[in-house]
Amino acid sequence: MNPDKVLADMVDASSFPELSEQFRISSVPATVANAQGQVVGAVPEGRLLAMVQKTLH
Amino acid sequence: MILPAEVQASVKEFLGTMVDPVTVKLYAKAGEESSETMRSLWQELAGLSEKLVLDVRDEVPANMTSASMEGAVTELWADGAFTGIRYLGLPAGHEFGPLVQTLVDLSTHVEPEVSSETAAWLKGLEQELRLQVFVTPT
Repeated sequence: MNPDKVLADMVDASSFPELSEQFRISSVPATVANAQGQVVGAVPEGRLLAMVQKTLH
Repeated sequence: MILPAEVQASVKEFLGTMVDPVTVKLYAKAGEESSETMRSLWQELAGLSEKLVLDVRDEVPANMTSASMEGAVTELWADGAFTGIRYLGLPAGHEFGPLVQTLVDLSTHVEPEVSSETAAWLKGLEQELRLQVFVTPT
């Protein structure tokens, strides 16, 4: 949607265990934004967006 | 063969709805398990649609180092440009369907299913945003 600014990685945690450990991923799905915010579960769009926006301020 | 014959048949039918080509850039590590699996999977999928172009690279993708590239990395490219969508490791299990759907959506220029407000916010972003969605239990 805005590839110049947004990079979206779908991470298979079992193939990237060190990356998963870095963010202490214990259950999935878990979404990390800018290596700061994190939300676990298939949360509603509004909640996901709020978490993402918080990492940009 | 990675995909069972009946899955191949249904995926082939679905990929048949692709319009414009989508290029898959697979960054693989020689001898690494997910790299070898993804190489086979993408070769199978590319064999199901002439709109799917496979480009296998023995190198490290952008924003990564050889140390942080723990497994296979797949970038999706459309209209000659990187879409911002990457798969790290294997899109196995429940992730396979959305992967195939994404290929078709990119090929047919379907807009993502987000609200118009979120879409407008994303398009107007001036800061860089990196999302990492962890999808498989460790």
